[in-house]
Formats: sequence, C-alpha cells, structure tokens
Amino acid sequence: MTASAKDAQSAHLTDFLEGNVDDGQQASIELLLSDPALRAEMDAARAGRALLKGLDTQPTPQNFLRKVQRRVRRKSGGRHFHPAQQPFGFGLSIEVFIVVAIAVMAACWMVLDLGRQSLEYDVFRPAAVESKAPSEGVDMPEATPRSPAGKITPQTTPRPSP
Amino acid sequence: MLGNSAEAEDVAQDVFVKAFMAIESFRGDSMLGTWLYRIGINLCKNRLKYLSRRQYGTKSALEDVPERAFSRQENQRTVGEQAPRPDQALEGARAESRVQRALSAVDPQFRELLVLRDIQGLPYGDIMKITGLAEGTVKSRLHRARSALRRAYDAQEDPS
Repeated sequence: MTASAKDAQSAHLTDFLEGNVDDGQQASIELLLSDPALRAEMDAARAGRALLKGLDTQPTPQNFLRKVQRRVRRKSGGRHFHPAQQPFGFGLSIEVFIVVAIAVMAACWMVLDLGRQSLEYDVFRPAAVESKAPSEGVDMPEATPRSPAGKITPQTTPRPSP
Repeated sequence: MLGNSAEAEDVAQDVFVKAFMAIESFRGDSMLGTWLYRIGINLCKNRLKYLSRRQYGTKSALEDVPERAFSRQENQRTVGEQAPRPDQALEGARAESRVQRALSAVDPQFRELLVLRDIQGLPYGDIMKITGLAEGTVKSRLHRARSALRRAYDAQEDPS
C-alpha cells in the first residue's frame, strides 16, 4: 500500500471513529476492520481518544489580565496600560471612571430637579393654607387682639376728651 | 501542549501580548479565537524547540499535577456538590498525570492535533486554518496521533 493510500485509509478510520460516515462507507470500513492489524490500530486510536476525554482544561491563572497588561506596558515602552493613564492612579480604568461620573451627574440632576419641583409646590402652598386655617400657621400682628372665640376685633383707640 | 503549567502560563501571556501588539495585522479572514490559537500553537512550537535545546526535562514540571488537580476540584465545585473523597481525588490526579506524561511523549506535530481536536474540541475547519494542513492530512495524522498516545500511555509506569 502506498503512503497516500495509507493516509486516505487513516483519514477514513478517523471519520469512522467520530461517526462521520454514511452507511455505505461504514460497511466498507467494517469490512476493512476484519484485518486484525487494522482492528488493533483502530482500537488503539479509540482508546487514545478516550484518554483525552477525561482531561480538564486549566482555569485561568490568578491576575492573568494584570500580568498581560504589565508585559504589554513593558513591551510598548509604557505607551499602553501605563498607570498615569488611569485616573487617580489606583487601577480604575477610564471607562469605569466615565460611567461613574455620568451616574453621579445623573443623580445630581435628579436631586436638583426634585428640589425645583418642591419649590414650585411651596409657592402655591401658603395661599391654600391661609384660606383653610388662618389661626393655625399664619402669624398675625401682635397688636391685633382676638376675642375668646377667635374672631379678630377692631382695635379701638380712646379719643381724647374735650 | 508544553507539559508544564508555568511554561504554559508564560506562553499564554505571550499569546495575548503578541495579539495586542499585532491586532492591526488581523484581517478578519478567520475568527479571532482561531487567530489566537494559531499564535499560541506557533509560540508553543518555538518554546518546545527552545526547551529541547536547553535539554529541559518535563519530570519536575509534571510533578505538580496532583496538587493542581486538588485545587481545581476545589475551585470548580458548585454549591451543594459533594467533594470527592481524598483517595478518589488522588487516583484521578495520578491518572491525569499519566495521561499528561504520555501526551508529552508524543511527537509535537501529533500533539498539537490531539490538543486542538480531542481536548479543545475544535472543528476541522478551524484546525486546518490553525495548522495550515489539508483536511485529509489532519485526519490521517490524528489517527496516528491517537494510536501513538495509547502506546505512550501503556509505556508509562503507573505511579500507584
């Protein structure tokens, strides 16, 4: 068997092992596998594949991103990921800083807007309060005497006698 | 691929550094992940050549497999999931160590295909772009690689 024919046969065996063959190909490969040497090779490939199925991939090492950033900084001569590019210099990225700044501005605007609305409400409030209960919240001049019933009595000044 | 977690981490960092520095050369013909794999495979090959020139042994590197297996099981366990018994964990770690040693004994051109196809589970289209090989070549080499891995596994001494 030539090398290319052997390669083609190996490729077909891989397809067979992974279940990527149609019925016609499957029958022809099963016929091939009646050869004990080829059958042993096929079993070895199947076992080798099964060995790797149980292997786990490794989790990302700790601080991987920081280590990569440090290497990029060193390699680029400080052009990328330089601490000076980070506001306040304690590891806060510019994107995070912008988001926080927008959130603070939005919060301030909402607080100011609420304050303005309550001011508008206060402008109309005294008239309503006065008409409802003048004796409860509105200061009257001290000189105005009140009757026991709460009515305001007109102030009378004594006239000088002739 | 390298058989050593410290070397693997070093190369993995190099992959992202190289990708960052050369991102302008990424034309978008393939997916970004495929491009990263290609950089990774090339860097691994270069590192293996460099290590072989320095007569670098993998024995000491693979000794940390049981410890890594314990810590990984600890990290990946979800809430409520029962922890494996220590003897089970040790048995699993030994088996993994044996597979890793067998994988390190396989020829690098076979090993890259085993890693890409059987560990990473990539489709053949991606593997062809990463390795630059034709589909038939990938499949025939993969068949030989799997058989070679089994032979290397049998040749390993069982540590237990």
